[in-house]
Amino acid sequence: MSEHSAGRVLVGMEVHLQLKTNTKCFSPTPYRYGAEPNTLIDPVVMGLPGALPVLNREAVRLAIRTGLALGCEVAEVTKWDRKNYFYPDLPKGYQISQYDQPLCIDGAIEIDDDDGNPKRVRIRRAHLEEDTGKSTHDEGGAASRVDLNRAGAPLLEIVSEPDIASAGEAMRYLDALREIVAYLGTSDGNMQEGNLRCEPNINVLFDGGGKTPIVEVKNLNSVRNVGLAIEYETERQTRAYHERGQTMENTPRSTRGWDDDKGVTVHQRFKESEDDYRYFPEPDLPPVTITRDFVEAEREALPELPRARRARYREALGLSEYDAGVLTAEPALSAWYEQALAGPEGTRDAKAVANWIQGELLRYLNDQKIDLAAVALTPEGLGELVDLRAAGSINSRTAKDLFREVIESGASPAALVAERRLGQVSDRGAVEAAVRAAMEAQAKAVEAFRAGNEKARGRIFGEAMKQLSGRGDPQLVNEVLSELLG
Amino acid sequence: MEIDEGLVRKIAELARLELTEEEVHEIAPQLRRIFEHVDRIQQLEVGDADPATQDPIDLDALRADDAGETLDPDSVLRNAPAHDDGFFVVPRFFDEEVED
Repeated sequence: MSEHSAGRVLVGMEVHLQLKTNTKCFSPTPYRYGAEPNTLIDPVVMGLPGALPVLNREAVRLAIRTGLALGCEVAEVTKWDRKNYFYPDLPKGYQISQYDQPLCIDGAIEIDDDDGNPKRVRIRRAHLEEDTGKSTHDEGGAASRVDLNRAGAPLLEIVSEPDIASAGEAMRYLDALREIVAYLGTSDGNMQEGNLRCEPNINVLFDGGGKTPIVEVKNLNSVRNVGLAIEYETERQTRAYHERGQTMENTPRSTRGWDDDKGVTVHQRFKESEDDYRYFPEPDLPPVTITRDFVEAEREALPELPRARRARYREALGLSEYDAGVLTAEPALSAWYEQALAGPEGTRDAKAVANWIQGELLRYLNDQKIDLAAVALTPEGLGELVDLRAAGSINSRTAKDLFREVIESGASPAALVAERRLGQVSDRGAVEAAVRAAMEAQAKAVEAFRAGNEKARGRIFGEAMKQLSGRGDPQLVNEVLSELLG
Repeated sequence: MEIDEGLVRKIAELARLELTEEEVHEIAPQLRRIFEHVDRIQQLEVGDADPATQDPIDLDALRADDAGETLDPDSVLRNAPAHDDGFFVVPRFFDEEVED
């Protein structure tokens, strides 16, 4: 930390979220990450004369679905505008975006603040626009290379109010957003692949009203780097304010780029004013009416969102904060858990099912380096195993053995138990016979035990279990053993 | 809006047009006449209609998310002044100015 009086950092987040459609926003060309350069292009993307944009309905639907999950209001009529600027990754010379009638406004994302208390970060707007191409710059060279595959892919730009008050809050905001879109299935939300990109707008406020100029940081490709960039900017701006008197009044807004190797932000340019984009209504696209029926149907179709699900797991199912977090981290795992919970006679023991998943299942996935979709075991299968244990039909050793088998084969544990007579032996007569046989076979151990060697008891117990092929009810075996040993 | 030479220079810069002082001098009055004409059009009575936008259409009228044809990359790259390995090559346009 610097020796100067610390201010209060304020961050507003701009997130560009690539929506998971088959085709681009305004033309029927597919987009996928990692394709050979300039193979996914069409006349609209290239800005060829006479080419006309045609809006993708699914892009609008996914944008609305995401906006609703963020608590936004959806516009009754929305329209697109041209944002004019020259850049080699934008052949048309303008980006089709939305200016004064965005699709979604006034939402919020709930996060935890640095003390763990719930906090709402307000969302000002979320609008649907097209992505630009991707450029790379030869190190120290005189040329830049442009790949236009990404140009025209649908982007939802989500703009928050400057409600974020720390690097930690910013990171949790992004994590929450990524988690929400994963549950919705509206975007892959992968920062490395660029389908979630974020630009924090950062400045620092001081007692007495002094403010540093707002800095937008670009080129952040991980949540961690967003946190680091905010910490770096807080210090840098605090220093510039105290040492050089740099304030919002005497210095324009600027854009800085994150240098991952050095862990610093680097000045790129002072911002063009909004006027210079010369927004005007896109003449090639009519505005679109969104009926309230459509909005309500989309609202109905929203899944339970991760934060609400975690609260339910804690409050209604009695899981710990940690368990609820693990089980909701991935929507696929959470859905699997939900299915395993649903038994024929109502909800199964939530903690028991959770333990199997967190212990055996996740360990298996980790060891085999596979994901859940590749596992043969069905949630119903795990549910049966839990039921068999709960009813005392099998002991814990049999349960674990069965788990290892059915996770590979996907067979029904209940059917296997019936077929192989793996059921736990709880019949008193059978257990007594086994214990007597064990005492005969381990006569020396019996003598030793009676002479005061407590440890010898374990050998007799083990022998009795062996007589029962490992299926004896351990509690009952112990009980009978105590009686017969006297 | 006052159409003066300063505005002409600004518009030229935004449009990446290089104008000589003579051209700026020549264009300013021309642009002023065009704006006067547009001003007259703007005085027309058009009722409630927003003259800048069209009538809205329903979601149903939009395009389904089905893939269509893509352009042949070679034919597109052929139009470019320079390309290499499938990429368009342009003068380097990303300048980092390191300060402080």
